[in-house]
Amino acid sequence: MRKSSLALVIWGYLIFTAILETLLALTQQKIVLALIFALVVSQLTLLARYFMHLDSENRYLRWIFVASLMFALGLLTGVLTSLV
Amino acid sequence: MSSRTSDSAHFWLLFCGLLGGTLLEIFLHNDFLYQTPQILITWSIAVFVYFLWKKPYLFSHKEGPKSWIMRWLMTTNHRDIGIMYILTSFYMAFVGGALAILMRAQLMHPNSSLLVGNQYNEAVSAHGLIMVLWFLSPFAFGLANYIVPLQIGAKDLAFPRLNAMSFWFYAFSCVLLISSFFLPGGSVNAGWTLYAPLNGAEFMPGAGPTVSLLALLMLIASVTMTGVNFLVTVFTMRAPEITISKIPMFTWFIVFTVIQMVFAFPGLLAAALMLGMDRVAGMLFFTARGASMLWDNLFWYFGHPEVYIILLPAFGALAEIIPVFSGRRELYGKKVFLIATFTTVIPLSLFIWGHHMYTTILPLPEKEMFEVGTEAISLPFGLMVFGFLWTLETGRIRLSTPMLFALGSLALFIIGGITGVFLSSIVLDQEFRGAYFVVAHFHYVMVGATLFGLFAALYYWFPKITGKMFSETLGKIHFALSFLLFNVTFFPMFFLYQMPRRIFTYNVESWVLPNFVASIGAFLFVAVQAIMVVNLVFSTLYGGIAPKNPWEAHTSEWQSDEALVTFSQTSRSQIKLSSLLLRLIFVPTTKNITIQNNQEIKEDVVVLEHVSSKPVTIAAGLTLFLFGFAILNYVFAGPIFVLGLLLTLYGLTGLARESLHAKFNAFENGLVEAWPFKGVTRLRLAVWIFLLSEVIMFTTILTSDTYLRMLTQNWPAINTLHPVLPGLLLTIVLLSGSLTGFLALNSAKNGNNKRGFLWLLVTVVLGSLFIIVEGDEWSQLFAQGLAPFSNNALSTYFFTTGVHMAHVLSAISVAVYLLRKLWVNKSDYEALEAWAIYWSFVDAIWVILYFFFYLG
Repeated sequence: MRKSSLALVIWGYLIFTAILETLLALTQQKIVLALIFALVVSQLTLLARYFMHLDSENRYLRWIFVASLMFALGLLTGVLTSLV
Repeated sequence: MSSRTSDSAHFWLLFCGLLGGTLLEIFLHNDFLYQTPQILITWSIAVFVYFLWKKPYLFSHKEGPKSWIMRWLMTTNHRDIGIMYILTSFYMAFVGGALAILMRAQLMHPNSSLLVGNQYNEAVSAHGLIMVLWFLSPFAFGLANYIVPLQIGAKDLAFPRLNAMSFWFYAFSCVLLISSFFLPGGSVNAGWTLYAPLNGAEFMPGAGPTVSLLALLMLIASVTMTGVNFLVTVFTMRAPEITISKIPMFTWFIVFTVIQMVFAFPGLLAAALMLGMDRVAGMLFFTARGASMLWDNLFWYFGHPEVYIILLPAFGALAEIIPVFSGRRELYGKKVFLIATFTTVIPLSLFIWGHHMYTTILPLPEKEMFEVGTEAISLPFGLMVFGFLWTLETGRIRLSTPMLFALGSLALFIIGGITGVFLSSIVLDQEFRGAYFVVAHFHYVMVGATLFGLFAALYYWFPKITGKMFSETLGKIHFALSFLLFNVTFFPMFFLYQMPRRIFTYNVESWVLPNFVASIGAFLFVAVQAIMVVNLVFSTLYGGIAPKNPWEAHTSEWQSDEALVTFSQTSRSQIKLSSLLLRLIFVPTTKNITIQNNQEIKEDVVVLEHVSSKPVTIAAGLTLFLFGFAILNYVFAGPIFVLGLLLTLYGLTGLARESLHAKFNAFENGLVEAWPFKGVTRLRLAVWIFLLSEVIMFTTILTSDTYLRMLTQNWPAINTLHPVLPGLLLTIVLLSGSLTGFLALNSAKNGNNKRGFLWLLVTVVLGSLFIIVEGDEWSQLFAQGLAPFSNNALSTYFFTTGVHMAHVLSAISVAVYLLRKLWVNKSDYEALEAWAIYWSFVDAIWVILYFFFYLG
């Protein structure tokens, strides 16, 4: 697939999920929060794909970025666990 | 009068004037805390100006701007900047040392009243902050600035103007910090850890502490720029001979330090920003009930790695010096040394902050986890010490001054390290926490191991920096007295394990003698440092010429006739500067410079300028801007604020203009060794590293938001405080900007600059629309009487979206610059690509914020 076409598909998915998340949130049901969260994660994954797309030449950079995200998640969990 | 007589007359006139002024000051007033910085500032500025005036080319090249002040203000050369870092950090050591002397004078006898109450608190807080953040690290990075490019065969750092900006941000942050003493409220007085709620406006009122905090922000900005610059330099600009396994140890340890800086400082940045907003806008991050634990966590997440950030450069120097003076080619167990640091010290240092919080309400299982982690980190250091000792054991030792300081550093580190293991124990820590045992321990690590290691490095590379040899005798006397007096000062503090830290007076019989001995030791320890100053200054002026490789070392910086290091030593710009003011306003453009290379001497090669007035202009502007911001309630604050803003904007646009018209080009290395980032441009790697620090900063902010949310009983329900539909509009607008940004990039890649321009223009419009809609939401909240200080939900919302908006604004500004480039049909694909990556990151953050504030 051409790069611009792929970017368009990713953009379409991001917008679609943003609308879907909003509609789900408006139901004000706590149970849908998990689903919304899952959609956010899928959006972030696709945005990460966007990153890769922009920067596809060096795999070490990708790993560093993925590792830094995991580190950030660990930090968030670590601090919150020690606070709660 | 001959020139020499005139020099001498000038010197004595200056000296007598300063001495007279100082004595007058002492007799007329009786407030030591405020007098000391004043006197120090006056003396040091006078001495600095005198030296630069009389000896503009004291330390390096004879070429460069002829005006002595412009030569230093506009330089971007890594060697000049290294020297400026070292001198400025020494100045800060004088300030911090003077405060230490005042504290020790107060504690020398029981019931003294030299510094009382908040005066003592200010002295102890500023001493800690200055020595940790404004002296030790900048000193190490002064040496790194000078030495690292030479060691790896780079012509300069990857981004010379960024390097200059790092230095000027640091230098002006010193000015801000010292100025805080003279402002209402004085400097910070909550300890160097700035614990909440003492750090808030309630307990630390006035503009002074806010200015100190803003100085900290400027310093963090400087550190971030330095971190990005060094990593990009080492990983993309090594000479072909310097493969990854041949990188010298000092450079490796600077890389390790910088990695930790990139991970740790953004946490402090986020915390300092939140604290600043608490103080200025009344937000509730650290004043909400239970939020003091949040500050503890955030501060120590930064604070613990900071210990290694300070220590590792000294260890890197030791790893160079000990093998050289043991007659070995390299350190025993070099690979284990490196692997242990990279795989154990760096990650562990970021996850053991909780051992500073054993006496808080942290649950016991977590304390146990932190205890295990803390004890585990002592293992790689044990390996390192073993490596040093075995190198010594198997070598032929030469006890020159650098080696003596290196051995002193090692010995003191062992004492500091072992007492640190005591403190890692939860049970023992209950006894020692907050007592002088801790003060003794960390001074053995920070002053003993680090300062002695950095002094070793300074003596070791002194012949390289000045081309002169220092007096070995004076060097050895300096070492012997420093080592003895250091122990006289700090060892008695181990016996004061029952005396609380930060108290300004005491009346306990058993504390009298250790305090007296420590104070005498401290006065003399500070005094004997004059031996080094005299030695190095006189050796620079009158010392014998140093041989090319006086220590018979093997690293690249000493092989100065090799082509790989000659460029940065000989290349200078030759421009005439007639007027200081005009030069600040009108940037010099293209001038001729001569590049010499020992392999191939090219005469009168015309290349572009390598000096810039913009870094210092931006730093000065930002300082005025922040200063004006902190004192907004006072007269004259407005003009200072506006002037600062204008100067910053002028500097930034000037920087863009320089790049747009190619008035400044970084040196290009020819062939480079860039594994593991082959094919990655410098700019792109820089953006990725910067994003890494951004990830940590936003994670810290979101962690704080989540914690405040958990503390709040009645968090507003969905669609009440923040209407969902405008939020959705914001999301669609921003995400669409990512698509158009990508299309702009794709068009530019295909050579269609016109289409690229149009797509980028659409992106700028979408970004601006985002700002307008977001701004509208803010104004509606304000109209309803809802402000950042109204409740926790609004504090988190205004702060987090505000930081995000600042990022969007920055991205728009860069996009406007790129539009200008595309307009004149100059496609800069590299810059556009870096911008697109950054823009997508800003989008990703918004996706999380939309969920957090609008949907969750």
